[in-house]
Amino acid sequence: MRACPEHGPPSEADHRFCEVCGRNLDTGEPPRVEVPTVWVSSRASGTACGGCGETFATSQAYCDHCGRRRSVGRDHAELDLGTVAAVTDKGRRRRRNEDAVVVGRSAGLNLAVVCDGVSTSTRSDAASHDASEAGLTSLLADLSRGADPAKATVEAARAAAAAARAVAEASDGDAPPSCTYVSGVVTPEGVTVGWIGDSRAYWLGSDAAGMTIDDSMAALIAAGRPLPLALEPDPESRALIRWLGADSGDPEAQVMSLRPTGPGHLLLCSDGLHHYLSDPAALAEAIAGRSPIDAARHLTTVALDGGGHDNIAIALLAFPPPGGPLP
Amino acid sequence: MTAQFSAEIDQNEYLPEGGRVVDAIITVTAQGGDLRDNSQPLTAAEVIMVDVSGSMSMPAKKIAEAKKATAVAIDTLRDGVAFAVIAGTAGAHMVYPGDAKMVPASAQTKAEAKAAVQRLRADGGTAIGRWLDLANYLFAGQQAEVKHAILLTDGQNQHESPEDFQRVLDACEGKFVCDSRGVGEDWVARELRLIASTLLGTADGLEDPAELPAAFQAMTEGAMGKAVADVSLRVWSPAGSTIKFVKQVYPQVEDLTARRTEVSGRIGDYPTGAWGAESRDYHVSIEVEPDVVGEEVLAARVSLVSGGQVLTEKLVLARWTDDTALSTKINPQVAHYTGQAELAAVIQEGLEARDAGDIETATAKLGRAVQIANESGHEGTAKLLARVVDVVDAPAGTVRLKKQVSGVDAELTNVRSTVTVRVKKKQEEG
Repeated sequence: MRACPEHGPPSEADHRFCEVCGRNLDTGEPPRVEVPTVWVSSRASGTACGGCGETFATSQAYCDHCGRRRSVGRDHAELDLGTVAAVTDKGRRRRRNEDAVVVGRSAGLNLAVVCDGVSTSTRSDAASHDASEAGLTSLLADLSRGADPAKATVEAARAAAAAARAVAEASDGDAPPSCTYVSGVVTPEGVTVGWIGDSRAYWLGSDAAGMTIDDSMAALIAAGRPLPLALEPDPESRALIRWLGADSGDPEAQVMSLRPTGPGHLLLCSDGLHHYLSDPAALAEAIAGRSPIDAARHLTTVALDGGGHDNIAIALLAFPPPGGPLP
Repeated sequence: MTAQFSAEIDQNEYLPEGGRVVDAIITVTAQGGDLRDNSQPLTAAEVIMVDVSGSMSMPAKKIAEAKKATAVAIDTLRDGVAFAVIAGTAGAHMVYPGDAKMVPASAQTKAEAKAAVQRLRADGGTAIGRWLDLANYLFAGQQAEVKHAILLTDGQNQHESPEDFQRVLDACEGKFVCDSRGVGEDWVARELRLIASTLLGTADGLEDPAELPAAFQAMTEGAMGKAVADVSLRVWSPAGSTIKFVKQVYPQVEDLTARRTEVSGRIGDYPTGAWGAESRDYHVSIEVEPDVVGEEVLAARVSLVSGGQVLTEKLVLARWTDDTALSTKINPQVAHYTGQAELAAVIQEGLEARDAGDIETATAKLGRAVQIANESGHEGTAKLLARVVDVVDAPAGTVRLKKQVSGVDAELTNVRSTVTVRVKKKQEEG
């Protein structure tokens, strides 16, 4: 029976850390640094209306002055927790930012979720924010109880899908709010990503690699993956075949884990970035020597300078995470 | 304790790029069951104005039925409701009680009032403004939540100037609700519609005096059934927008646009009077600043308010799209009520042109009226129109003016021109 010398056995036999002090129960190693659990989101609060500049007096969905729909997310947000950081920007073409990004940190954990609101439905920023926050808080809760990262990743995507589904209203008709999803978990043991849609995860280290396969027919065919039966194969089609929202089939996240051979960064991004820069080696080179927040800012500039055709969301998670042992 | 109000919005929220005009039909329903079970009746005051001009005795059946109708109305009053009966001639005098005041209804006062009504004799002229003026004075002494009047006349308003009449109407506006009815051959639709519009009531003509008791009973029951007083339609609209119009479109067309009271820069109230268990439709048309394709704007927030309390609220949205299949779809409700409003207008304009001897305009307008009545399945209006024109081809709107038309048929067609029908809902979803 594994137990903490100070606080006794964990509440569940398979927990890897002491719930009280964070000691690693497998290695017996005490927590090296006190890392408070914290998470932040790109959700807007108390901001001015994007349509007229008046400050929203109430929490109503529409501006009391000009009637413009209130943006759920900020046009530009920088989230910096040190070892995990993110930047999102509405880009140069879009009226509002429908991408959402949430980052979190705890002892031995860096976490992030990126969701890209699908622009063909009107209130996708509500879906992307509700989904990303539901996903991240689910990850935090499960992982701080010592759950397995792959299982926690699948559960978090389910929570995110339920949250995106719940955003839909009758007036949305055939196009309920919907979004993509990609989550990243960095533990002392490795990195785990889960995704639905075409937002991506890259491992950026000495052995840089893409970790996700877009949920489009073109990407599945290129990767030699089987296609869903219901679809006619079209190697050109980049249209999403899986997403989150009330009109989706509630797909399960695909999960990919890797154990890095050395320090590096996990990058999560929406297509606002990978449309302009998608080569893993080039991405790794672009962020070399930068802190997570600097790297996120720099990649945002790359996307904006490239044209900024779409909303941009970028999260960088350092490996190893804070308070965890080096591999 | 509050009544259950609910509202539904019918609109096509999709606008093409650069599109500005947003039309929406708001259906407001006050729930019958809840109103009866959960809410206490409002305190009420009722004034009955009976025309006793000399013509009411020609034939004698008119004054006899009017007395019978007044007695039925008195019997319909709830105990405790303040009431009075006024006899109208070129002046106005109290029938019951004797002094210029109102008394609470009880078995005794009702019996006394009916006896006083029985003693009425028809003799004198017609000055409706004086009657309303006395009613207004009586209501001013009352605290009741619902103040309702019934006005019966058989002739045109000969013994006062239109200016004097208008002055009295302006003074009465917002003070009480008045339903008016014409009986016989000589009443004027335009006058009754003016009273109904200004005092938020109904106007109609009765073809047979024998219909009077039932009509009086229905009007009194309606007033006794009011559960929420002084209800306003409140419209918020965004900066840079213009309210083109706000109309009640069911059960009859009433343009409320000019009746706006500013609440704040963005919000205005339009009066709707008192509500019982009933349902009404409103048409709101707003011009907004266009936004880019893909954007969404709140074009109006429409609510019903009473005593500072919001009873129900709905949002009218505008979304710009480059999908013409979406933006060119005309909402069937909006189309229907646009037609019903045009129907009321062309009937009134057509009859006016006919009175003025402009046969060409009258034929065109009334032809269009026959066409709309036919298209919208408005059988009541179609039947009335057939009394003033010979219909050659209803779908094409081809008509000939009738040579001989009794005065009352034209007035009935006119006074009922604003009465609308509803289209069957949810036809657009197939």
